[in-house]
Amino acid sequence: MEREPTPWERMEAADAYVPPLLAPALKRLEAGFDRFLDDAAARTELDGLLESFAGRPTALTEALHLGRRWGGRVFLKREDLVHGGAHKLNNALGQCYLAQYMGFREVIAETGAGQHGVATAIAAARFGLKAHVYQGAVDVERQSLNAHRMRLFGATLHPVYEGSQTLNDAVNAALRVWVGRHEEAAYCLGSVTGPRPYPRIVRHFQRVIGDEARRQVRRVTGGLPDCLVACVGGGSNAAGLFTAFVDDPSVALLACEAAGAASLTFGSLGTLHGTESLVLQTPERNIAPTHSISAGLDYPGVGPWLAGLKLGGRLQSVAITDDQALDGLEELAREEGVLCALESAHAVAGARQWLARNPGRTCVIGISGRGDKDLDSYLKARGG
Amino acid sequence: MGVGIYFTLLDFGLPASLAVLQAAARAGASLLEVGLPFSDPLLDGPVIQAGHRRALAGGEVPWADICDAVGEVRRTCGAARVSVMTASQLLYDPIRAARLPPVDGILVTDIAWDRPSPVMLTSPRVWFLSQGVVLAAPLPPPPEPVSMVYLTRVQGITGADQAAADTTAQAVRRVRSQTPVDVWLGFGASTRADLAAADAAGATGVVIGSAFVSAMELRARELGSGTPDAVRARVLAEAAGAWVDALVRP
Repeated sequence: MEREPTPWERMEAADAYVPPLLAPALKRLEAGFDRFLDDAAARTELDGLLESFAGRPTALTEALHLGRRWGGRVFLKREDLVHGGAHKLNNALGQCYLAQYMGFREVIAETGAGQHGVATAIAAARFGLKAHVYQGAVDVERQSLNAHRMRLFGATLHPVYEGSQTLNDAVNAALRVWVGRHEEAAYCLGSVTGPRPYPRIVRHFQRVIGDEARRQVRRVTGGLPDCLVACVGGGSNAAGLFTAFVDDPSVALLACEAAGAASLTFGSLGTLHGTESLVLQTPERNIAPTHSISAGLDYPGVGPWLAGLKLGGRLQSVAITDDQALDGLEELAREEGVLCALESAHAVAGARQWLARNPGRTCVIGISGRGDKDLDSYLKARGG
Repeated sequence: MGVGIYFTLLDFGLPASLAVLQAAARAGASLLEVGLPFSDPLLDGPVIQAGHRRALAGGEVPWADICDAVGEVRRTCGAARVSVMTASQLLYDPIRAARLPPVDGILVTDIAWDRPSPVMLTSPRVWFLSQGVVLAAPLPPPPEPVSMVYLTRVQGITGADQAAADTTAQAVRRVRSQTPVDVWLGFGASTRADLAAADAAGATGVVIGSAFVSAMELRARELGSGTPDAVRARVLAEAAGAWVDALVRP
């Protein structure tokens, strides 16, 4: 007998705020995804690619020096080792697989700093799909290396000159194009946000992070960790790590947000981009401006599954400042020889705080990506 | 054949936006679609997005003032029907939503088309349908009482240069078989030819957004940013009246 859905699963499955313009395309996508889930051969084929192309499983590294300094056991789930340098490829590979499985020849994606755009371009190249990536013109300029990478992978990069010329405008432009072209092109969405079925699809393709971590940590420690710590912007890396442990009440879940974009910590219920979730909003219900040194966390909403966990008391969240994140990045690099992304550095800072309150415990930190892309930001902030 | 005009409240300032809507009604627009300014309009084209940004450029306006302005449009725009077009986020809080004065319809752009509104509506719902939805499968009746239907003319987004699809007549027929209310076509209409095509397709009228807002924007740019509010309101009202008049005059 199927169990009752949890409150967070119900929030993830809600579709009351799906824009009618997107409804036909989303319905078709959900049907394709469900067909894929029932197709064992297709799932096996994708699993094979995750191994042979993306480099999975990724390592679980015990951070011995941090453990000694902080007073506990610390493990790093190393998504920085995924091809492309971040967990984003898990999802892009899954969604591009799904696109060609459903018979599409093209994919459309939005990107902010460029990580999801690069991952989509990589996956599209692997499947022989034509990728169209929409990026705000300001971001194209700021992240010129990623723009070059996308083009090298054969993607067509469409700079968006509307509005503030950043992520939100890119999302809008890409979705508008998709509304008119959903017969020919799939839309590859980068996080566990947006309208149903995207939160469920993206979490499914990212849950490999936690599935692996669970096996790996049991093998080393003989049991489950006391806490999982992950950074949260939209929340794909956190949802991916947490899913395999969410039914184990002994495992604490800690979401580390950027203090200037902390929708789980400071947000309230509202609707954004086709979904009902915790949203940072002004008293007049406009979407609040956000800030983070880390582009990947600079988002005013959060995935509905994570919002449901927070509202249901299953997840704690903490707001990490830019400075605390930079300290985390430095400490991890110096002590463990791992240069993590600024996003992941928020989780490092959060884990340190958690172990200070829970000495002697074991935690797993999701290292969502590598930090090479952030060196400029780091040097600008810390003067190099 | 009815002409509906979309304009964002507070675009070019409160006095100008009210004057534009009033002038459009005087010139013969039979539906005024009043957009409520929002920071993150989804799926609107660049012209309408820019209108929202201009409306909020001077800072946020209290909800009570927005509600007052909607009420004033209703009171001062004569025989035209008035509907409010908004994102669900602005009506999410039922205490705020309850303050919106009664109009002829409320169109929420991001709620599921096939079930009752999840947010409180103080006026009857405008049933927002895309042709993709209408043509994909047999259309059920509206999920709750509706005062009119807003049907996207082509499968696409707001913008003035989209080609008409020959499926429109079929979509209008399907909608009319399920509800007796007015059926307005939106997205991409801007010319007399569009009006004639909508007429031939059996629609009540077309709602014109981007082309009209572009014309107002052009006129406002000619005025320059230092123009006093009252002057801008008068000049834009003249431009709005002339624009609508040119479209509706036989």
